[in-house]
Amino acid sequence: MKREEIAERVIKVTARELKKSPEEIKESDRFSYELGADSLKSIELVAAFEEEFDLDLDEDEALKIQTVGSAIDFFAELLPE
Amino acid sequence: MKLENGTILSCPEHPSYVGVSVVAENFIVSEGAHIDAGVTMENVFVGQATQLGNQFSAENALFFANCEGFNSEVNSIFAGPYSVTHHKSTLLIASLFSFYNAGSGSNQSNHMYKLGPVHQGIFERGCKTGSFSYVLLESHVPAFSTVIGKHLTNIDAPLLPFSYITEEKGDSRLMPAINLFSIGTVRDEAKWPARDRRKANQKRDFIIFDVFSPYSVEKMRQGKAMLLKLYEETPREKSSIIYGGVQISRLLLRKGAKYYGFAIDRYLIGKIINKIEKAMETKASWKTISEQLVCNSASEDINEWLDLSGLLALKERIEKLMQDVKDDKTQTIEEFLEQIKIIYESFASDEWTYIYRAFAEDYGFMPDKMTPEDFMILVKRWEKAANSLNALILDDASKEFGDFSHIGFGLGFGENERRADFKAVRGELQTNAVVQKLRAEKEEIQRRAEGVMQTLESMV
Repeated sequence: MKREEIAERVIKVTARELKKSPEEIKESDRFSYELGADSLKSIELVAAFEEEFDLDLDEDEALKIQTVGSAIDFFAELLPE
Repeated sequence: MKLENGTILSCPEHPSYVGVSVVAENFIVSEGAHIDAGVTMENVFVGQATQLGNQFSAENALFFANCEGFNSEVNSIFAGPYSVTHHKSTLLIASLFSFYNAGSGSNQSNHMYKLGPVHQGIFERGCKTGSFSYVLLESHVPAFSTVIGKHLTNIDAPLLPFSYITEEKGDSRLMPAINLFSIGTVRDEAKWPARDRRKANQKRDFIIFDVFSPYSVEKMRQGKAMLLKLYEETPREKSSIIYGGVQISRLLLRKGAKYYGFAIDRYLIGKIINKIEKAMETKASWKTISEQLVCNSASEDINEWLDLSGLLALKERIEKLMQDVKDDKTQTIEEFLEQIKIIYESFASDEWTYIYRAFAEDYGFMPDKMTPEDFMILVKRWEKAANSLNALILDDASKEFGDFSHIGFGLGFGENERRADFKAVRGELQTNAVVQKLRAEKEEIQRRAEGVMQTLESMV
């Protein structure tokens, strides 16, 4: 899957789950700071990514995703073109 | 002081104490209990090493061992061991508790009745209610769950232990399995046995402290199956469903089931690993090891467990005891207590029977009939489950050292002072004792998995 497509889907899911508009989400945004996801919301967000990309993520790996950009890179690596 | 119609049990090993301005009528106080400073109580049983004080008032209530009641009020409660209420404006009413912690201003009631008041609440073992939380009775709060906020719905979710129950704009929401990796749950598990204050030679409460036991694991097994079914049945367009009076996010149906799966695997496979490791110490053959995994119990229903004021017991055994009392086979208090003691002493064998049968149901082979190859696959599964939970708990503990936790430290000074003040008070993530223990546990998981795998490989 192309990085652009992954980015679009990551931002779409993030916006939906954190109730933001896609335009205000930047790749450098941290989920827990700029986007205001508390620890409980973060769990839902990971679940939403899993469903979006039909993946079952390793908890250890999922915990390393801190920013929108790192999420895009993470899924880009898991879902190569 | 005014004491009327009461019994005070005491012993040299742990004297009980009734202090100033206590007003008590129709009561029993057990060894090592400490009641002081204006406590008012009527029709109350106070268990061993329970502490009541600071104008606490109690009516029609039972407190089992190691409870604490200060400042607040209780009415018609059944407080299993380690039930704790410390704060003014907390009112506990008409409920069953066990290993419970009440935040300040915790309250339950039922003001929806129209045919006269009926209050009934069940807060299963290990629940916490946050500051100014309110639970509308009748409710059944699942074990090891945390309630935050005001809930104007009747909660009924016993199959979803280790949950967060929160409130958002008046709606009650449940997040299943989230407390499985709360550092608070880990702390509680270590804290309870360490804080057993009872010193009397005869301990009146038979307490099984285990957080993970057939009692909690069976609920998770049933809860997992139910969550997966609900997930399959719920269309993607729906963001949440209603279950047991509360909303559950559709996405968390699958996630909760996954977390329960981790805890179930860690428990069931972990218990078998314990037995196999022990057998391996004697360089036993696989045949000899398998013989140690046999289960010959005749118990019929091994899946229903009860928490009787701290005693985890097979329901079948309790029902038999009740029938024996009805049939006059158990006639005296001494005989009854002897039977309770037997039930307590049977926990280990009943637990093994449960593990044996649940293992066979979940993994497809009986422990004593599996091959080393079968078990190697399960050791990998255990390692993944244990590591995943360990990582999630470690992440939860790490948040205690995050930027938000620094708020309020080094007040009036700059960033460096703020960090230095925090470090002086809370220490550092790297050197924190709980974090170090979790990291050591991670290494231990790997060491055990590798050790068992090596031995199994040599047997293939």
